[in-house]
Amino acid sequence: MEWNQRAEYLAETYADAILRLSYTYLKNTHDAQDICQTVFVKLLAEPRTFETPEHERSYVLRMAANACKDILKSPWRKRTCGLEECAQIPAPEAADGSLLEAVEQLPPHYRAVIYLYYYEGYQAAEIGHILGVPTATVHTRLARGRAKLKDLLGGDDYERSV
Amino acid sequence: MNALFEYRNSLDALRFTPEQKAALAAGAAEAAKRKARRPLWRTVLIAACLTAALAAGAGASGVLKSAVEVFAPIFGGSAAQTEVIDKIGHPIGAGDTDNGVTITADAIIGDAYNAAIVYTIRRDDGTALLPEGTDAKSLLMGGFGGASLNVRGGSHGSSWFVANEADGSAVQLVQTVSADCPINGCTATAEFENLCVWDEAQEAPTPVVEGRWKFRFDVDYEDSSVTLGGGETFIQDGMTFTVDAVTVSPVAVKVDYTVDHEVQWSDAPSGREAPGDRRQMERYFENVEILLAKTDGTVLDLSASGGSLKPENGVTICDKGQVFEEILPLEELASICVGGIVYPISGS
Repeated sequence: MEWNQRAEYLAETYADAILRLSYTYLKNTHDAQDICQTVFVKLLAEPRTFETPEHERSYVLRMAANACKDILKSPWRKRTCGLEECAQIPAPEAADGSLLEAVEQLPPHYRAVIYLYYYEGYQAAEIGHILGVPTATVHTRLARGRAKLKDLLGGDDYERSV
Repeated sequence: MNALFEYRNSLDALRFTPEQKAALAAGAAEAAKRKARRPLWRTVLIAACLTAALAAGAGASGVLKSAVEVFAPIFGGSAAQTEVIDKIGHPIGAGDTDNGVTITADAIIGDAYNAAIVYTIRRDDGTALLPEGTDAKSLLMGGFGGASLNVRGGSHGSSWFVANEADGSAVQLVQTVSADCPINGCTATAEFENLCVWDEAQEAPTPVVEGRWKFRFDVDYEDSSVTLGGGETFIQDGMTFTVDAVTVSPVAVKVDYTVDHEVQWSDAPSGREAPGDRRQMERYFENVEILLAKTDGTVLDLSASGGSLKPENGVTICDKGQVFEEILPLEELASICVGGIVYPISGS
């Protein structure tokens, strides 16, 4: 596949998923385009063969998660983008008392497992592979994340739904 | 509404438009083509450095690299960028050895208030510096991690690691420093302790290279910055901002301004930021827009730069700026806009 075609395929297939994962980690949409660019450029410049589409998807999400972690670890996060780019992706509005608002109050590693489990639908072992942590750690983060969400939101309704 | 349903709906709405996806694809394809060409050029450059080292018959840490050799692979190697580096960059060559590993400050470049320093971290016996499979970009400094400047003022900055693709025994560390007082001519003390990687299971840094390194070097280079403006005002958030000076160089930008109100901080516990303080930071500092326009029409949004705020006698004295990610020759800069006030850059 020619580079431009391959880039279009990657953007069409994964840009939205990377945007959501980046937002989950970084709580802004400004860095998402940089994360997409980082992931896509690596995949284009160093092509890989994947066994299945699911394998490719989890690999791409892992790259995106690593790129987000790099930004989080940076002692001074630099955010430089074109004026139009910065304004074009509005962040979702997290209403007071909503689950999204509560999730955003959790530490990044809890937010990531909750997103991958409840939105992307991955199982704990798959999340462990994507994030590079043991499955037991994923279970722990899910349990602690749920407990924190329950504290933040209160009520049994939430406990049943998540 | 079911909370999980609402959560999924909120995230469903977060998506790129088809036009944004097309732009992302085009940008990635173009960048990948450039990246595919880059390793050859970089390898040639590093090979040239190694050849020079061998010809000199000295150990790696004893070879003084030129500023162009050090900065061009990191901050840009176009003809115009190389010319700037050659003019204002300065080799250093100072370093320290501990536990079989030497850290050398290779070179420095900067202006009156900002500097970028590149260090090489190398295992003296030529073996791989890092355990197999460790990505240099994932490294963290365990304790001290760079140079502090002997100046009477505050400073901020950043640092990141760069893998040496041709030499596994070394990695490079880039440090940028921005201060609220002049730094050129001062002495820097560089201190490092342990190179670490993040242990996901422990959720803590784990050392992969242990040691302590400390050495001094002079902050010395040609300052090619230009100072613009002085006295212009703009009104924002019900306050008057007076731009005291805008300093632009090929390496960095710094904006000094005074707000006609004195910032009031709450008495929050150490390490905590009260919501009120957050709003103060936004009003006095983060909401001040800095846009750098290049002659090719590109606009860099530098509004998220670091800096400082100092309440004093009813006003707040602020400075805000950052070191660029690449060398920007003044000839390629058209103007800088601060809070809506446009300052043409005469180098263009």
